[in-house]
Amino acid sequence: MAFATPSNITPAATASSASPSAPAARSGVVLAEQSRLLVHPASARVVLEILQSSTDVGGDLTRTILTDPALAAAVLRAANSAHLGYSRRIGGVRQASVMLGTSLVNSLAASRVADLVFDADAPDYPDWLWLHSITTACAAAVLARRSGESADDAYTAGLLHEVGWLLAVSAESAAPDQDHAASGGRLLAKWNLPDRIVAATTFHHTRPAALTGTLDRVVVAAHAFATSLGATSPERSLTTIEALQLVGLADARPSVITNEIEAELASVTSDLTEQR
Amino acid sequence: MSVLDSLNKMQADAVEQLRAGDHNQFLVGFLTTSVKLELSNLVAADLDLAGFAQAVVDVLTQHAPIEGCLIGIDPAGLPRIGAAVGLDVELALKHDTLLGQPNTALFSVDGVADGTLHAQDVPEALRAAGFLDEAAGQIATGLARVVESEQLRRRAAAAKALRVVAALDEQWNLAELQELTAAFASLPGVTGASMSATAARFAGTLQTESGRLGAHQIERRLVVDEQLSLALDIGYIEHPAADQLQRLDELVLALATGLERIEQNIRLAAEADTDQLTGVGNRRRASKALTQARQMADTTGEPMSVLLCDLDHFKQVNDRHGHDVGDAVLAAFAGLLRTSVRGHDTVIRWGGEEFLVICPSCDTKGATSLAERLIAACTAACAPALPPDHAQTTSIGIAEYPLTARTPEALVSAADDALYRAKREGRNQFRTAG
Repeated sequence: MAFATPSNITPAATASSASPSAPAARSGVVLAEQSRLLVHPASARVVLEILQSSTDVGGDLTRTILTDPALAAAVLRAANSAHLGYSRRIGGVRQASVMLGTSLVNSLAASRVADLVFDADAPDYPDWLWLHSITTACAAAVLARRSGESADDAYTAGLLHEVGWLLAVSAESAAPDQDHAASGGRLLAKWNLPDRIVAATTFHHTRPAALTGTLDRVVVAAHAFATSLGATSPERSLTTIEALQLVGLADARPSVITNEIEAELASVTSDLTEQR
Repeated sequence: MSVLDSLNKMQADAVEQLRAGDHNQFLVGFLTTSVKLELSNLVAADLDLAGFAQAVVDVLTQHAPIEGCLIGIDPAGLPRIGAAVGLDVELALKHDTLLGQPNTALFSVDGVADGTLHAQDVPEALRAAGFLDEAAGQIATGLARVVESEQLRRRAAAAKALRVVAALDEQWNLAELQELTAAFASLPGVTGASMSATAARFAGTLQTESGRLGAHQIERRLVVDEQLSLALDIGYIEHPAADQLQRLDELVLALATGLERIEQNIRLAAEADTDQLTGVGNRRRASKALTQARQMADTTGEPMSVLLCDLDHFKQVNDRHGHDVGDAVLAAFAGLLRTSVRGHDTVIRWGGEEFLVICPSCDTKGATSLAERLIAACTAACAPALPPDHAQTTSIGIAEYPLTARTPEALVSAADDALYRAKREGRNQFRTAG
């Protein structure tokens, strides 16, 4: 796959269409573009369990939201929406959840899950996509922590870096091409997510030497670690040694980092794998 | 088993488990309850009617799996209010278009209001459970209170407009015009207002709009003076009654009186900044213009330039031909300057026979070309004021900000040094600083 260069990809907020195959407006009045992302069944199942088990509908879904790109994106979109009027843009899922409050977070999650549950013909979630996203998120958090970056922003950037792909799957369009990085970036920009997260998504296939942002490099490096752990994607990646050099951690041992990432992944997904 | 292996296995199981369980009933109940709860919270939030309508569609699109939603409310005695998310708001304002469409619910509060709620792509499970009707019923529950507070707000709109007029000062601009337009648009029976104010100091026309003008429009034109005129268009639900028009004209009169006062203050301030003899600015205006030009240069990154012009051997004119002739030469030269500069340049009488020209967005090259034109035209421009044998010339010093000086004072001083060199080296020429 050819590397794109930053100059020909622009994370513009004024994207004409974030979806490669936005369904034609049925009654001719739809202004919104198709932008509902598919929730993974594993996260959906846990959301339903938590909502049903808590007596006062106040169960904390934040941990589950962290395991799902669509849920995380929905919460961050709401927290960064203009009508909330916060001046600072929010990149961390935990912070966004706190800002929105339990009741809105719960109904945001419920309505995303409802999309999946109510739709008997919902498209299948590609197995690799969810695993790759969540592993890249954990790897990004570990690498960010080691390089003194915000682990929360890095986690989000890792979790959402394939959001363009997820968008194409959700819209049931043809297999996405390399433009999924750009379309993902446009979607996140339209949702007013922080610029650095938009950039990390847009540029995750950019030639490493051309990356300027720290977070861009962290995501490309995290992508490499996810691949080496077995959470592969159809895309090429660096070796873990190259990845560590890219984020200025050339002295670290890849195996130590890998262990840390596995521990992070086990912790983040413990709710999902727990036998119920 | 590694984390990834167990996650992989779990992925497959999750799909099975989710498909096997029946979650529809729970989700329908959960979503309906949470939307109704949020809608009931809105009534307590003391919103105006437009704010309430917008909040309703926000709640529905945020708390339910609905991407597009609109609401139209017809309150008794008030204009129809519409709000939409993801759909065209124009549709919300046309009651008839929505009737009979799928995913549309009607609501009504006797004698207070009725309206329509419409959503795009409501999932079948929600539709079957009457989700939109439940939401519409909840909206109707709180509507009486929202409409009542809107009517109170409208009764206060005239007072609000008068407060805005009273607060206007010489600096008033687009923001104040917007506030005023919104107050006019809130008058009882009014659907919307638009205003446009034309004045040289706005560099054209300011325009604002609030609400919708609709079918019954009333027009008012206000010519405050040759400097400022104002056009108002007010839209009424139905043709306005005599008392409504009377109220409007009282407000327009108050506005006219307020604006006349302000324009007079502006005129007085301008006179205080003007040199009586030549009609160009005095040093008081210079400091304002220099500060403004410097701010503009700092913001845009474009340089500014000043030209300091001095009439050569002017003392001899006064000595030989008298002060009346001297004054006429000064006025003639000021006239040359005024007609030679660009619209946003400022001409100042800096001292006796010294004039300063402040040119924003202009580098030394631009200033040089102006200086050449002035030197070439000076003698002819001053000739009508002088006896035939006297050829009046001028010397000019030029300096550019921020190239040669970091402050307006240093800039003028640099131009003065350049002017001194132009004089010493023979007059009737210009020199540039640095």
